[in-house]
Amino acid sequence: MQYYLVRRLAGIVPVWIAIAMVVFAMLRFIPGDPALVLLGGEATPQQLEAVRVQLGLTKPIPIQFVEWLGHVVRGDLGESLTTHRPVISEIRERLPRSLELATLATAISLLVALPSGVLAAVRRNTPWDQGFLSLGLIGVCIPSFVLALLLILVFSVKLGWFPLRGYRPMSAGLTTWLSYMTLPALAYGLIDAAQLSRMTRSTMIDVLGLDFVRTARSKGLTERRVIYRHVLKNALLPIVTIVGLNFGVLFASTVVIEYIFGLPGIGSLLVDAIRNRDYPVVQGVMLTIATLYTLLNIAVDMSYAWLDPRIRYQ
Amino acid sequence: MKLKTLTWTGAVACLLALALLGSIADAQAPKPPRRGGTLRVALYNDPTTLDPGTTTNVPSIRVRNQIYETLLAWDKDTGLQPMLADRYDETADGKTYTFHLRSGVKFHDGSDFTAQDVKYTFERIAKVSPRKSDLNMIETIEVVDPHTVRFRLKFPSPLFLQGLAMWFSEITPAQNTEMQVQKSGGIQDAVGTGPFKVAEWRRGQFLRLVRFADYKPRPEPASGLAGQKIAYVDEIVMTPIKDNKVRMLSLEQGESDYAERVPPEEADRLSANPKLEIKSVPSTNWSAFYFNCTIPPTNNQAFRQAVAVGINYDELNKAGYWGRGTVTNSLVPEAQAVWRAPEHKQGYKYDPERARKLLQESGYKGEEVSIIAATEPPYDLVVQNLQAQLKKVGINLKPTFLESAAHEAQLYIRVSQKKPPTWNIGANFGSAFRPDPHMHYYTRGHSDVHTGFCSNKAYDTVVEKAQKLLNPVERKKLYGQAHLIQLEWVPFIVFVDEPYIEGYRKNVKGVQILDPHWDIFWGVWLEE
Repeated sequence: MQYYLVRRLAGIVPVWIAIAMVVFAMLRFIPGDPALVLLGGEATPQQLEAVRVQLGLTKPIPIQFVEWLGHVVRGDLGESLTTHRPVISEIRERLPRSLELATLATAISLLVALPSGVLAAVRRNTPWDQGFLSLGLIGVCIPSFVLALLLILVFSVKLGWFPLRGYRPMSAGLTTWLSYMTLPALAYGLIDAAQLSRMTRSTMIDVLGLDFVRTARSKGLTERRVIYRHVLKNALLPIVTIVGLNFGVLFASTVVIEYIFGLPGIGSLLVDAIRNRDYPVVQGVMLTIATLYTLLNIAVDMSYAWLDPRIRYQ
Repeated sequence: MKLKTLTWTGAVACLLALALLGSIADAQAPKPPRRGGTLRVALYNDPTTLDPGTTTNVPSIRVRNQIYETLLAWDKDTGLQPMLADRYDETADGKTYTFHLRSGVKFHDGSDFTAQDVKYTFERIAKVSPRKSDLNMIETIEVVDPHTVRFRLKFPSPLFLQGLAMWFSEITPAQNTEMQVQKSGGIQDAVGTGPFKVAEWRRGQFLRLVRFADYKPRPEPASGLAGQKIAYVDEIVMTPIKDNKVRMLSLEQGESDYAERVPPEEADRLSANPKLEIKSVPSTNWSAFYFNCTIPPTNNQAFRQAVAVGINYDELNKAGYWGRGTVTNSLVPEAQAVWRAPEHKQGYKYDPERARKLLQESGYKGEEVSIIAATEPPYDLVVQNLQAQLKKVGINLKPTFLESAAHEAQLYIRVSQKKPPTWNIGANFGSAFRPDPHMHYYTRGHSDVHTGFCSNKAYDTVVEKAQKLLNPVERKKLYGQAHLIQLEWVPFIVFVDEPYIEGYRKNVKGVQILDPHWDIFWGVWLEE
C-alpha cells in the first residue's frame, strides 16, 4: 500500500512537466499579446516592443520555458504581469476560498443526492421515483448562473435571509461564514446533486438486482440493513469516483459563481489571467489545479480499498 | 367687535401662511454638506495594483483618484489646472518648464511633499511605466529647491503638460516608494497626497479608504479633478462586484450607495426607482470600424464611402447602447469640448440610395466582407445590427466574434506582428481617453500606423504639422481639417461616443459624474 502511494505520488512529477509544457506552449501560440492588452491598440510598435522586453517576452520560447521551470523547481512561480505580485501569493490568497466553496458544495450535493438516489432506487417506478427523476432533470437543465440569480432574488432580495454577495473568512465566525457561503454552495451543490442523484439511483438499481442481495434478504436481514450495509456500500465505488472527479471540476469551474457572488477564488483568477494574457498566473494556477486534481484522484483510488476489501494495492 | 375678530383671524392666518412658506422654503433650501458616514461603492472590477508606475488598468486608476494627485489636473472640461504645482513658467523656446510646488502638502506617511518626490516619480516612470514613451520628451529633471523643480525637454511638445495630468504621472513619495521597490519590486502600500488614504485592502474583497486628516485642500472651487477637495465622508468602502446584475441589485437593495458602470440596458429601469439617481453623460470613449486597405473590396474608397452612408447611426446607437450613446463620426469626443473644432460636428448622413450608387461605382458584386469583433455585449449587438443594415443596401457582411485579447491581437496585427490584417473591417469598441487629439489622429489614421494600412498624404501632412505646433488654437484648426479629410477618405468610421452611466442612491449628494475623470468621492456627502 505504501509502495503504491509513493509510486502514485512520484507519478505526479511527469504530469506536472507535461502540463507545464502544454500550458506554456498553448499560451504562446493562442492569439493575444500581453503587451497589447497592457497598452491598448493605440500603442506604437516601439512602445509594445519596450514592454515586451520589460516582461521578458522577447526571448526564444524554449529559453523562456527553461527559465520559468528553473524558478518553479525552486518554488518560485514568477510574478503577475498585471498585479506585479508573486503568483504564489495570488494563489495562496484565492485557493482557500475555492476549496471552501467546493467542499461545501460537495457536502450539499452528497446530502441531497445520496438519500434521494437511494429512495428513488428502492421505490422504483413509484411517485417518489418519478418526483426525484423530474427534479433531477430540472437540476441538470438549469445552468448554475441562473440558479444563482434565482437564489439571490428569493433568499437575499425577497426574504433577506442571506447577504447579497461577498465573503467573510471562517475566522469571522462559523455562522457569518455560512451566511456568505450557503447560497454559492447551493447554486453549485444542487446542480451537482441532480447528476449525482441520478447516478446513485442507477447504480443502486444495478446492485439491487445482484445475487448477493437476494442472499442477504433470504438470510432474513432487515430491508434497511440490506440497503445500507450491502447495496449502498457496493454501489459507492462509482459514486465516489464521480464525487472525486466532480470536486476537481467544481474546484476549477466555480468562476461563474465566483463572479456572481463576489467570491474571488482560483477560477476567476484563472479567467482574468487568461483574458489579460498574464502568462505566469495562468501557468501557476494550472499547475496548482493539476496537482490538486492528481492528489484527489489518488485519494479516490485509495478509498476503493476501504470500500471494497477485495481491492488490494501493491 | 366683528372687525376686531376679523383682524385677529386675518393676523393668525397670515402668521400661519408665513410659517408654512418658511417651512416650505426650509425644505427646499439645499442642505449644507454633512461630514461623516461611510460611502459604499460597488466597483465594476478589481483594481489590480495601486502602483501608478506600473499599470494601465482602468479599475485601478478609478480608485487611485482618491489617493494620489498629479502636478496638474483636469477640470470638468478637461482643461489643465494646477494641483500639486501652484504655477509654472515656460521658456520662449518651449523646452524648459519650471514648476513652483505647493508648500505644506503632506503624504499619507507623514512626509512632506517636495521637488525631490517629483524628480523621483518621473525618473521612475521613465524606467518602469508602460506609458513611459508618452513622456519621452523629458531630458532632465532638476531640483532647484525643495519647492521648485525644472523639466528640460529634448524638443518642445504640446503633449508634455497633458502628460503631467495623466494618471501615470501621480506623484509618490521618493523615500517610501524606493523602500517598497527595493523590497518587492513595486508599490504594494499606496501612499499619496490625496484626500483619502488606504486603511485596508483585501484583494478581491474590499478596499477601505479613510479621510486623510492632514490633507490641505486648494482654495479654488472644485471642478473635475482640480480645485478644492474636501473629504466629507469618514471612509469609503469599495467592493468589486463584477456581475452587472448583482452590482445593480446591490445598489437597489441599498447594500451600495454608488455603483460604477450602469449597463445601458438597465439604465431606464433603474431611473424609474425613486431612491436612485442614474446619470448618463457622453464619455470620451468612441467606438469605430477600421477598414483594411490592402484587400478588396475595402481597398476601394467608393466602397468605404458606401458603408459610411449606408449606416443609420441612430439605429446602431439604439441597438448597442439603448440610445444613450452620442452619435458622432469624430475622433475628438464631445466630452472633450476644448479640442473640438466646428468641423468636428460634420459627419455622415444616412442615405441608402447614395450607398447603392457608390457600391455600383466601386464595382462591388456582393462578395463576402469580413468583420471581426469581440464577443462581449454590446459589441455583438452592434455588429449584428450593422450586418442587417448593410444587407439592405446590398453589402454581404460576415461577422466573426473573437475573445477580447484574441480580437485585439487581430485588430492591431500591424503594430503587434507587423503584418497586414486578413479581415476587411475591424470593429473597435471603447477607445481609451487621450488628452491630446494628436494621440488619436496619429495612432488611428497616420499612414505609418493605420491598422488596415490605409494611407493618405494630405491627412499625414496635416497631422504632422499639428504635432509640431504649440499653439492650441492653431492645432485645433488643423485637427478640424484632418477630420474633413478623414470623412472623405474613410480609413475608419467612428460611429458613437459611448455613454458613461453611473448610479447612486439619492441620499448621496455632491456627486460629479464626469468622463474621463471617473470616480470623484471628495465633495460627496451622505444626507441623513
